[in-house]
Amino acid sequence: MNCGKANLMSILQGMVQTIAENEQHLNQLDSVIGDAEHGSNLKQAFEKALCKVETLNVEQPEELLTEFGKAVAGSGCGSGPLFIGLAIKAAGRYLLQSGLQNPSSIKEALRAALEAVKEKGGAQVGDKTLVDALEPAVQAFEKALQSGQSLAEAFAQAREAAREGMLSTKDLAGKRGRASYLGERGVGYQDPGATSIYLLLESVYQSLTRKESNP
Amino acid sequence: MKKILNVPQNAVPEMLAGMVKAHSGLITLLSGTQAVVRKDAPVKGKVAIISGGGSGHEPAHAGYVGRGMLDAALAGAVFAAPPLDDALAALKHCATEQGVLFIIKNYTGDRLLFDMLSEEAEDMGIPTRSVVVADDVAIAEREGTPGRRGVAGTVLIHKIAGARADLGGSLEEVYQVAQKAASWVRSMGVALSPCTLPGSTQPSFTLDEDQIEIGIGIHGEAGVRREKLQPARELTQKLLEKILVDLPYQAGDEVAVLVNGMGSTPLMELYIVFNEVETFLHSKGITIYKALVGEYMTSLDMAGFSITLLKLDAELKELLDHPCLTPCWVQS
Repeated sequence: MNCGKANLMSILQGMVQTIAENEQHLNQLDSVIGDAEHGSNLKQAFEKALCKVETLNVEQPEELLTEFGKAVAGSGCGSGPLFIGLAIKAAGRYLLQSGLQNPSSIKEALRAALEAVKEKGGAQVGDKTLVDALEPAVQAFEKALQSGQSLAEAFAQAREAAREGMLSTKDLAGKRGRASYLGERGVGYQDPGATSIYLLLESVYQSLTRKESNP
Repeated sequence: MKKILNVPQNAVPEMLAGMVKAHSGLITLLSGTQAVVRKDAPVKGKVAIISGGGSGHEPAHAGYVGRGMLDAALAGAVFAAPPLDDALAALKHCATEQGVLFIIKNYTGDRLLFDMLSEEAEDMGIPTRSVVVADDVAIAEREGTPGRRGVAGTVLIHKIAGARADLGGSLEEVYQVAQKAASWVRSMGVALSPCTLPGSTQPSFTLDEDQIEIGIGIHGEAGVRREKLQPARELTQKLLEKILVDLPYQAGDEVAVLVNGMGSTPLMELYIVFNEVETFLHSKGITIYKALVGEYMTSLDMAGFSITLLKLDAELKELLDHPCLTPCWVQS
């Protein structure tokens, strides 16, 4: 796989665009169980982070990813950008050590992102948070690679698992984050954080397949 | 909902610009951030105190920056935790050799932000301590949540910690007394109507004319249950009974009472509530040492109120009485 700096930048641009396109949708989801700003906060943080990394003079693409994650966590309001930024930073940090070129290290980086979020936030699957999308996605990614599928196929599996995880949050009562205060009253509503994770993985998948079909 | 705005997206920066202009002798805004700091920060020889959270709680938090209270207040987007970069800028600007106390409301975003800020402070060699305020008794009974929310009682912790720091207390002393106050403060709130975010056409939830939400937080969210509207006396008693059993208050105890408006409740109604609070507490043999009635920690334009009780001892009384000079709490 050829994942140089330019490719990674276009993946990041795709993520920023996806979040921007879904700003109102995410706000809408958040309005029921939170404060109706998840989409706007995330959009602002992602756009600021992209501006920041575009001006950075980094050599390694892995560093770009780390700096992007740091900037999302550093410049965004609310826990959404903090957690998602933290996850991206953790993945970037892992890749800084192991390199972005082989699928197995990408698998480990995704795992590192998940662990960072779980460690900081303490959420488990079933708590109605972004972990409900991220954990099954990481597991599906690992499984796909083990069965010999390509990176793009593995991302396809991951985003599908994230989508199922995202939808599963509808039936859950929140145990972490803002939704937890509503408890049972939040049942029936999809978690905005889990939705963001699905959208981001979908975006990465789209970027990867776009590249494969238009080399 | 009609609102007085220019561009909704600029509501927070424009509000902060207005605040620092209106109180230019006391506070200033750190350039390129949404962090409001004491004009004379860093105050040499004094423990610095940093608090903050989402916007929409005005006058919290920037209204409490000044002598005898906060050195810095961080402002996020409406109801969202502030950016880490702003928090870092405030930390660097205000930190003294005596260290920094963080006052944190128990909400996921705020906890995470200050957690990361503490790690950064450690890397920079700045000694810090953190006090987490979790005074809302409404959700105490539910297991598996992030724990109680930090709500209006936080303002009293600002006052207590700020006074001890102003009197020259060490970081450990400021932390200890703030921690004691945090463990002795309890709140509960009720909403009569939801709030509407700047730029939004829809309120955060809908309530019928005769419905109220009991057990709200401070982010315009629904409460823990919905009830019929009831007279001030019943409502006040309902909230106080929940508060009183949570932290056993006894006959002979002295307390500070804060009757806090959520943004759109007339003072008339807040004083009606306070009248009921005084009558009820008096009947229990509990004395009100200090009363605060007004808007201290709001949820934009939500109608409703919260009641906060802080149990007092001699030390806390002295600190509550200590002078302070901030935009929205002046005491000589």
